[in-house]
Amino acid sequence: MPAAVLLRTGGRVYLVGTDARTAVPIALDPNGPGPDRPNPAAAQRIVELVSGGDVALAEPGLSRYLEGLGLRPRPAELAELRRARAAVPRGPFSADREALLGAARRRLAETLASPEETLLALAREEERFERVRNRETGAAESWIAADEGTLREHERDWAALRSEIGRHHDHLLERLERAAESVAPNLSAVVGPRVAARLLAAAGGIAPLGRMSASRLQLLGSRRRTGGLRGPKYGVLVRAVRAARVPPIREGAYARSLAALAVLAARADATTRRRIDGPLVARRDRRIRQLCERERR
Amino acid sequence: MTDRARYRPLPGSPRLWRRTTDEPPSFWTEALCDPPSVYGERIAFALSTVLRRWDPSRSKLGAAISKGWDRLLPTAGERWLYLGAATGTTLSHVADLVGPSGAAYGVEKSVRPFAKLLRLAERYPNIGPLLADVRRWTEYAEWVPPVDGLYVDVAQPDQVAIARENARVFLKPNALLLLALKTASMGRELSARQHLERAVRELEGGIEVEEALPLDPFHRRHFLVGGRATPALFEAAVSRPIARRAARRS
Repeated sequence: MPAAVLLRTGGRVYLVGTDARTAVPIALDPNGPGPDRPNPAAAQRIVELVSGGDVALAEPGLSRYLEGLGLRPRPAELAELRRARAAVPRGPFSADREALLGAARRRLAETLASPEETLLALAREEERFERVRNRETGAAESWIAADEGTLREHERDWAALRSEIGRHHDHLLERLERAAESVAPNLSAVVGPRVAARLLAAAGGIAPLGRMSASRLQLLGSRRRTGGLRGPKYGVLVRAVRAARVPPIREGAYARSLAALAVLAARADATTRRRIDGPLVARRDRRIRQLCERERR
Repeated sequence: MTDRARYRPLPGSPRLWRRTTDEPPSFWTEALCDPPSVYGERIAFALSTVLRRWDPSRSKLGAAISKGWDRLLPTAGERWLYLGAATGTTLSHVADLVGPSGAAYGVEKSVRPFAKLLRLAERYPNIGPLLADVRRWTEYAEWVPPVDGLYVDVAQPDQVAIARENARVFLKPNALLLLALKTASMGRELSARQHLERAVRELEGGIEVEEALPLDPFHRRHFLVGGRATPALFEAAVSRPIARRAARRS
């Protein structure tokens, strides 16, 4: 015996009867037992339509509409799903358009507001402002002007602009570090929050970063080198490497070790969300000491 | 020279025009929105309407049409589902082809391109933007009715499986599947040709492939594969969202 199919269409929920012809809209009751639950009359209707047969779901999320009705829903088979989809009445596209655009806007806003997307946007902004700041600072160093006159006025205005840019950049960094520490706490502890944020931005999120190999992570964010056939050399990880102050000849070895630890941290952040940064940081520091000592010998 | 002589309709799609005075001939679709330009393409006022030039180097379907693909196209009044819509460059032309009585649903997963796609949809009367993962059809099935055609341009290692799975759920019987195959995404072990052959084999038994066209020189190592759904496609029992990377082999 074929099953009745519950499916959602254009923001409404329908129950398609076992004859695969009648599609009954199920009214949602905002004052019912919970949000998005059918009201008692609709529930009664579902039980009638199903009349002791099977109920199949077009998507797993719909099971909540059937809770408390004593029905045992199962996922719809392809043929059932296709019959049910064909049975639901559809108007022209223009009838659904506003609802669809509204859903798309909501979905986009939700995604953009998520901590991870916020972090990615902040990381890109921070990188841009760092470039602006460095460019302006560099220009200021080679600037010369007489003590008086129009150029001096320009210099004062420009200095004000630079300090404004610097202030904004500092704020960005603060926000970025907070965001990185909450999205990827382990990775932030191992390579520092700024580098962690750049790694995440280069990978496109914590999930892709967690799927990466250490060797790829080490070169993440590197630019292709011009001329010659050799590949890229430094990724964004190089800042964390430089910050460790191992002897320059040992930096390559340290970069490999750090990438290996960072990728473990990223995987923990992407999957279990457990804090494993304690042992990782200890191993990192031991490695730094080791590399410094070897140099002295 | 009259417009009718300069612009010739393509038999496969009445809203698609070939401008014969260009060398090589260029292809134009009847614009549905105002202002008509979507991605900086050229505009022409002719045939008492507005035409948008279809840039073959920005669109795989456009490239195929430039290379002589003239059947198996979206036509007026149809509903199409477009997977991997990105910012909507090709989708806008598909929307032009299906016209005001049709609809073009575009699925895109990345947030930033989707923001542009949404802005496009706000000015286009028949584009439905869906922010979702094409591997999980349950996320957008509620908005997409059974469709006359499915266009897939997702550049993923398992793109053929994605196309097939979506075709099973969304296509009407005997409806069209157009698959823009990026062979570089499918691994380097096989040549582009071998990848194409394998893709056609994977579609066999569900999709009857009628045409496959290399898109050189506009898109290297890409193919456009066109076929129709056979009843066998809808027979296998259960359809589930696709597991990530399921298709990557050897």
